[in-house]
Amino acid sequence: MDRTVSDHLSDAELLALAAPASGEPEPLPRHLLGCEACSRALQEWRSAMREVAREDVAELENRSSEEWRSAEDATMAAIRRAGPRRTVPAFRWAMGIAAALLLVALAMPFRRESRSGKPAATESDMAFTSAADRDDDALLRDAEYLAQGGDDHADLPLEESL
Amino acid sequence: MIPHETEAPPDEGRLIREIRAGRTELFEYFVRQYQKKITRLAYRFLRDVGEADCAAQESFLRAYQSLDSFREGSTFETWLTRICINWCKDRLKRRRLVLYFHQGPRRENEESEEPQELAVNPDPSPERRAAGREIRDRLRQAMGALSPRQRSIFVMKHFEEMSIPEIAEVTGLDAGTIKSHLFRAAQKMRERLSDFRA
Repeated sequence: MDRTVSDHLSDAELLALAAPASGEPEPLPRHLLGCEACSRALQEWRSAMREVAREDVAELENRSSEEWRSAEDATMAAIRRAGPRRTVPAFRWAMGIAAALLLVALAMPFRRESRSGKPAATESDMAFTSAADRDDDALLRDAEYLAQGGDDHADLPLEESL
Repeated sequence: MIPHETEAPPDEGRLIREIRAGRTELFEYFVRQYQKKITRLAYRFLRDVGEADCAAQESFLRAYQSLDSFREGSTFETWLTRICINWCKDRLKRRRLVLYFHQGPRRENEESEEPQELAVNPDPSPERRAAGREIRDRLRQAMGALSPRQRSIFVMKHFEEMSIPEIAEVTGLDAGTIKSHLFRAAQKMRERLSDFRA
């Protein structure tokens, strides 16, 4: 059924076409074939996306090539000041691998005794993950909760509720 | 010898092997090739030119010092991008996150600045220019509804035009999680736009 004049695409629908949620281009609604106003509006939303992307970094986009060259020179100077790269002797690598294998072997009995039936975070897992990784895992769990339609503001850390 | 820009792209894997063997000067290729892109990406997160420059420099320094841990199955650009994002993330955690939602530098007189690319009409009327500005404002306000993680993934996908596998590799998240974040970001932005209508 064709849309009437009052059924023009909303801003939300236009945004969904300009920035698809799936990350892949979506089929255009038939309405656009016969509605010049909505076709033009979609063009404007796509143009707005490009403009906001460019404005987002306008301060950098206005840099001259000489300024970029200077920044690159400063980076290379910092690398030269850092001196020779630290290379890890092979012996130390072997010790690290051996230590890791030992931890895994010791952790095996604890994994079998996990009560929940899901892979449990064992002491060996915790040994391999940094605090930052655990923060990321917590964030991912929140993301999963949100993706399943969970409440946006409940039980989220302060930064997620801003 | 640093490969010249007009020559065929060098074998980055070979360059990395030679740098590991002690030829530090060859690292300059990677700096010339990627510093602009890395700085731009850092700026999208940190919203400050000085900090973005610092992020880029620190990312290259870390990449250089930990070159032994680079896996040759990946690309140097993706690995470097991940280093940069992790640095930016650490930096943001040490700052108040209200800065992350900063709208970005606004020009004093936006009317006097024409977009370089006018997709709709090369000579738009004042009404069309006003409509364009209004849409850009709505878009920025809709993006304000996003969490830091959602915004970062939205920016990488739709502004930096990275693929989902690339985003997954630089963030360490799996593709399904990336898609969940994009989906949730789209939902929030639609809700914010609907709120404006109401």
